Amino acid sequence: MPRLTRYFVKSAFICLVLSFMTGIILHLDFLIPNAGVLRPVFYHLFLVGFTTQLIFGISYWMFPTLSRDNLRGNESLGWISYVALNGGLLLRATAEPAVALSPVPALRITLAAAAFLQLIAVVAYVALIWKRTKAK
Amino acid sequence: MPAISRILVRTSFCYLILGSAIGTWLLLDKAASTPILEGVRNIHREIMLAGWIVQLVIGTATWILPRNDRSRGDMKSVWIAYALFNAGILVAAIGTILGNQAVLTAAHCCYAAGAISFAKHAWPRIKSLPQDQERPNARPP
Repeated sequence: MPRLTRYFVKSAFICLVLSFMTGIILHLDFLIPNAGVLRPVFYHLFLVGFTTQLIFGISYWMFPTLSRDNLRGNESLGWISYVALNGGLLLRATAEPAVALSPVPALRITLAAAAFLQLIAVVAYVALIWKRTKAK
Repeated sequence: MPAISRILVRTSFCYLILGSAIGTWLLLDKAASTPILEGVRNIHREIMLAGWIVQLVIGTATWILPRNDRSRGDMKSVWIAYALFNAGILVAAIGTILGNQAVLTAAHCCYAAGAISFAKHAWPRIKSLPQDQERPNARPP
């Protein structure tokens, strides 16, 4: 299993745990006021942090290789995708509830940065894996 | 990887980029605190679930599930599933724009029919490999 895959898969499991912990907080809304602002964070930690990140990691490992000299394509794109996805998710998980509670300009800029980082992650991954979607 | 898998997987990548671009727009909108049509959020959900995750999974499953006598079996069912899932996304988008519940229901009927069609293809392929039958306690490959 390549190193990039191990990073993606282990980070996916961390996001899975974090998403369920967020889910617990959502159910404690009678104790924690404004817990509902975490709902989008819960969904995105599960669907982007866990599901999508697990798919990225496993497909990088398992999809047909390009050639003997260049097995899995440009690994740098994979690392860009990994850093942007997790950086974007981390910024989002902190800034999105914070903006809902206190929409100060610095937090809004952080949220906008999170939005672009996640898009960069997806584009970098598709650029890496597209050529490997082939017959053999 | 067979042709239908390549098409399903590449279509799912296109939906991933489209869905993420819509997600970026939604998040930027939240950062700017301007109201956005609730329907855009619905289209984002449909694209990311039915377009990205489901089509990637059925494309990969068609490629990787065990074969019967070297044959992947009835591929027509997978093509039908592909057509139904993509028709469903289009119908869901139209239903969201029109705000018509009946059209949204029709979209989900397309998804259900697509799922049945894919299950018809995959069901006979979900089996033990011959070497597993010889050694029931063997570690998976």
